[in-house]
Amino acid sequence: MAPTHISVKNVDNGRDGEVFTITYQAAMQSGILKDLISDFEHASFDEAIPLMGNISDHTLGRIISWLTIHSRDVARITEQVKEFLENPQNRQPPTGPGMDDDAVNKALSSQERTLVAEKLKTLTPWDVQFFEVPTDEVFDILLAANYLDIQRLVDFSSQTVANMIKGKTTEQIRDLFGIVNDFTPEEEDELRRTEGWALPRCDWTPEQWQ
Amino acid sequence: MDGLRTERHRVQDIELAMAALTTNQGLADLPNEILLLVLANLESARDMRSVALACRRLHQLVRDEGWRVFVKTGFSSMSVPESRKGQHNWRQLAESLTWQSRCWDRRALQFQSFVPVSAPRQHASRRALFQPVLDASFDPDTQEELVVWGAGETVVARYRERRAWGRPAKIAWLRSEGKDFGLVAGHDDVRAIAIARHYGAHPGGRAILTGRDNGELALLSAEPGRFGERLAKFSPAFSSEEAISGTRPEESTDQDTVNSLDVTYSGSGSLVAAATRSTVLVYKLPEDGSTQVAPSATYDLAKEAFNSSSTQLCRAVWMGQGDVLALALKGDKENLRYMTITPSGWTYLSTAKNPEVEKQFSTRNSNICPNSLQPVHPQAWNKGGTSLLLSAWRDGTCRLQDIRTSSPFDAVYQDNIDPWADMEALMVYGTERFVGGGMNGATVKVFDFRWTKGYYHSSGLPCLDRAPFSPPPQPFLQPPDIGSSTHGPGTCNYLRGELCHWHTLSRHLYYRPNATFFLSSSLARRNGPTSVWSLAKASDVAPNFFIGISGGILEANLEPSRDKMATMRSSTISDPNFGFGDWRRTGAEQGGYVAKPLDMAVMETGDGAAVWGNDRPIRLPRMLTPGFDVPDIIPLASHHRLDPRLHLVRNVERRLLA
Repeated sequence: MAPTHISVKNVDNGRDGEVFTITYQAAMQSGILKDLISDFEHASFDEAIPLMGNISDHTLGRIISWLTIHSRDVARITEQVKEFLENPQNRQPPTGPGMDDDAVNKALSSQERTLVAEKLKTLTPWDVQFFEVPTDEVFDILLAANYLDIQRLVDFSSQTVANMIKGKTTEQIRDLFGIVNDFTPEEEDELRRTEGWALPRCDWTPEQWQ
Repeated sequence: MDGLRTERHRVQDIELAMAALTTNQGLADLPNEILLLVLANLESARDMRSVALACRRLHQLVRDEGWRVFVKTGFSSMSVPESRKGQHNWRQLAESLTWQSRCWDRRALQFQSFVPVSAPRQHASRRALFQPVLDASFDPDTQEELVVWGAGETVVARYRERRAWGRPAKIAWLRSEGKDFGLVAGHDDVRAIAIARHYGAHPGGRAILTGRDNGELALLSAEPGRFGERLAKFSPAFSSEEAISGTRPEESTDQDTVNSLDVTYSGSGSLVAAATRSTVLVYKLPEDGSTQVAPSATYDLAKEAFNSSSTQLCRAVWMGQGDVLALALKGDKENLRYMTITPSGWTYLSTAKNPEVEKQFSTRNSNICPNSLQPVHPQAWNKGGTSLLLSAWRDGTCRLQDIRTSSPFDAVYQDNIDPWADMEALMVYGTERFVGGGMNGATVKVFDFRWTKGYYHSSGLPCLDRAPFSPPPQPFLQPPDIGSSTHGPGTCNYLRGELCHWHTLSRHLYYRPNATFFLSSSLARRNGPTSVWSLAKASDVAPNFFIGISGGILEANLEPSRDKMATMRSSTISDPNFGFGDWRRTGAEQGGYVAKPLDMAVMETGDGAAVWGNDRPIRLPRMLTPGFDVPDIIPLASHHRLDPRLHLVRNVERRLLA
């Protein structure tokens, strides 16, 4: 019998940290929590499961809140897509009378899968806000999500980091992420030249690039 | 001086490094696999470059892995020529693919023609001009391109080798005259041709497969010294007992006219599918030097499958590695079928029907253009085969369909301006675009597959607050919701997922209409109308392709016109890694052909979705005819939808931009 709620005790660098409680459904989004829960299946769930990921309480707290918010996404989005596809005009290709049920269902389920997968990949406004934190906190979340094997959160956080990079110059990227330039000036000049092809062939340069 | 400067830098570096230590985690400290997940979300080569130049570690990662990830996510459907010398240089592939994507989208194509020096000989048959069959290949290891075609009973080849930058390409023309082998025009014409890669002792070896009207299917040498020499012959006669005992003369009992040839490369070797009037024959390319090859499988459709004696097989095309063949038929109520191998042998099947699509574009009332069949591979690295097939029909439609089951990929394309013009030949670039040509003169049409693309060339350009220009002709497609306003947000907010007006709209299909290239105007008038019979390219990353027209060959090359920036960055006029900077030729070539530049006119034709009963009067879009040079640069020329040489009626566009 699956419990409704799970308690997780954070163990950060050998020190006992906070205890977090989340729903079973939310926890199942993490591959690690899923494994831990099945390992502890025969024990009672009264006691908190220790999680030894060297994750700070703060980061784990944020991840728990992300898991909670997104715990019903698959069901919710599938329902939305199903509703959307009830209108035959939204179907690609359109299905109609004369097509046998089997073929209709096959075509529909395939389109449904594609649409659901697309929607699950897109950051919601809530997620955008979730990531409006200092860059090192975004990295902490990315690393922790990777450790906890939460595919979607890994994907969202790498999208966020990529979005921070987009449109920026090398100097802006160094500033933003605190990267130390370890090229010699000669090397850097050489690289700027050999990688020059990647610059757009543009007849004007916006101010921020100058 | 230099020493001092480096010393100062070193001190600065140490200070910066200490500062970085006090902050927690930096981008450059993330493990590789995580950084690659981040890089996979970047959309332009410019962003990749900015990351690569930040520090040594990031540069190394982008160089070793980053460009591969960039190519695989941005161009997942494009197949690249195999290199035996280990890894591709992914940076070069990224460079070429992004460059080519911009050229294609901006319609930056140029053409030249190759027609025989002497007036084309009258054929014994009614046809006055030969209808070339074509194939091309490129070997990245030797940098050698090979294009071959059948000109009547004669086989012609051109080798062209890329050399160090600035050095002219090495060109060799080879001919195998039909009359030297006692072949007669018409009766012995080459009907099908294919380059067999990986042939013979040395790994890059190439040979030419030809199928003729007289039923002869042969493998010919492509080597300069012995070009056209027959290496092997393929015939069902060799499987009979007489052939084995050697009593039967070699020349008898060939198959019927070879209508088509298709080669696939599987783990067990190269498999050739030949289609005759009623039989599919599968041959294995000999690896042991045998000169007489019997089919490894024969499927007599007339005996096993056809319902009517008037049904004919026109073409058989591999859909995978030797287990599925798509078939184009004539005189059947269904002109497109397929065969698949099962434990009990080959099975003949009907393709899946989508009744709703059928209702509008019935395949029952239309005939297929047999030479047009093209398998479509959504993922280039998935070599396991595909069930998506693109085919052209006489009603002017091109259909993308899953032959096994109706699927969301099914789509019907059509030229919105000239809806009844059918395509004799099609050529597919991944799921990015396809090119078609047919009976309407020396004309090629470029269609977008209408799929979400992995890469948009516009991503690399700076933001802009206005809609893409000039306004695209779109007879049917409505502009996107925000597309009717000429101005909008001037900068992208990537973190919020909000793009600027120009970046948003540049990706939209509405602003990327299909285009038709008209090439007939400067072709010499000869007897009979000109048609496009065949199309071939060396690979998906070739910046050029070949068009077989009545009595000659055209070569198309991606080539942006010179603009202001061309003087600042060299080598951007032809593809830096796969292109031939000196592809333009004039005058007589060794192969008996005369090369001549071609004038072109371009018309943008719309979104290319077929509209059932397209009988609405449509205002003809403007014909764009480039001049010789681009004397006048309009403002924001780099953001124009089209190549500078197509920036016409400049005053009009100026007014629009004011």
